[in-house]
Amino acid sequence: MSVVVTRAEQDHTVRIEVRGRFDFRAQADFRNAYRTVAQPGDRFVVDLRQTEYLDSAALGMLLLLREAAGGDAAEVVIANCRPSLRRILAVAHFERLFTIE
Amino acid sequence: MQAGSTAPPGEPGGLRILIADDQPLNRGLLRAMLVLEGHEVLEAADGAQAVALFERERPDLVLMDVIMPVMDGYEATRCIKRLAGAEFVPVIFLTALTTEEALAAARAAGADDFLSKPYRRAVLNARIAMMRRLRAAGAALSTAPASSGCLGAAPDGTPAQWCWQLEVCGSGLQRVDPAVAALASLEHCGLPRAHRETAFAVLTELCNNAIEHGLLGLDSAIKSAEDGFERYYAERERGLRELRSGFLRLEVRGGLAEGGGELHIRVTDSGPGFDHQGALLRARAGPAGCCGRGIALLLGLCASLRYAGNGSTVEAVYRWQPGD
Repeated sequence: MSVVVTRAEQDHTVRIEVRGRFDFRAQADFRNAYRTVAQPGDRFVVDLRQTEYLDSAALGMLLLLREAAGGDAAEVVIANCRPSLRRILAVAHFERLFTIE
Repeated sequence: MQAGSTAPPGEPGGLRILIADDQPLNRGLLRAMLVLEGHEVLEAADGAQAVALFERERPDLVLMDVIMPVMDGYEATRCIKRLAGAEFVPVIFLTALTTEEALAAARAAGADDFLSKPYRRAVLNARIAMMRRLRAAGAALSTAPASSGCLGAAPDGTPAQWCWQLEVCGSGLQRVDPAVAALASLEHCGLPRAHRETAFAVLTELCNNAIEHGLLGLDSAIKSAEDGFERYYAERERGLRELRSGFLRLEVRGGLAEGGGELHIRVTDSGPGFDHQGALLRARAGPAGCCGRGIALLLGLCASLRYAGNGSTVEAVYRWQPGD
């Protein structure tokens, strides 16, 4: 598991790429992305292209990110979801809270 | 016995690995890869030699070809498992199992894992590391007075149906993630890749509930406080480190039918149970705040979810259809 965080200054976007298993082990790195890397008003893209698995701890982390990014006013995109991951997000009704691509 | 064979399983250091294969080229290839990792290698050219070598040298792990002269891999594995007795000696079959019958026969003989050609070093190392962790947890298991049971694959032998069981004692859980161990088994049961990922989410959820609530008695409500998530997982880590008693038992029964199939997953922990009726009601009522999402996720992904007794046993059925 590894979490790669990059910030693009010109479009105020923080991209969080979770590689491997997205579970509670990713917690510290994931939090770091919005606590230390992000600037106020940034939008977030969580890239699941190289994510193998997703569990309920990961869902919790995504919710915490959304909260930290401003709750209902936040712009958080979950990108590159494979059908199996999308199914888990759908079961959790995340399409109401996030933009899922 | 030679020096270097005494490194305890689960610790860094080489294992003694027996390769049984009638093709010298295959043995040489595997030997080269294993020696690079610091393992000690024993070689047998047929099943009978493998059994004799096993008896004399007691290796830690066996790589077993299936079709060999004198005695085939199935028979040799049965003998080796008998000789190993209560000790868990992993046997990895060197074959691509292309039919359900072959898979069932291999599991019936006692195969713990499978590896197919072309052999890749990274895959070989990953499989051996997993078996090593299981063996380490098995050692802990057999010394824990509170638990008894088996570790490894326990097939029922019926074609297209199989059963996999794992019991890990409290102190073994720091080294073995039961869901990850089960996943390695699911790779061979005909579960399509996309379903393997969802089934893994189900396994992880069930095992984490058993570990975090059943064995460690963690309260999910911690997570809703400021920095609660961090605190919860720090407490989980500390709890696992200090856990000296208890057990988790995971059983996965699989069956294939007309392109689809189902998995019956049962997880039991030695904890006091919990208010599962209340938890199910809350989960059905809708997504909660920061906790209670696990059971809601299980309800959404599984065909059925049932708690037994005081809640320390849970049974989930995961089903897939052809073309899902």
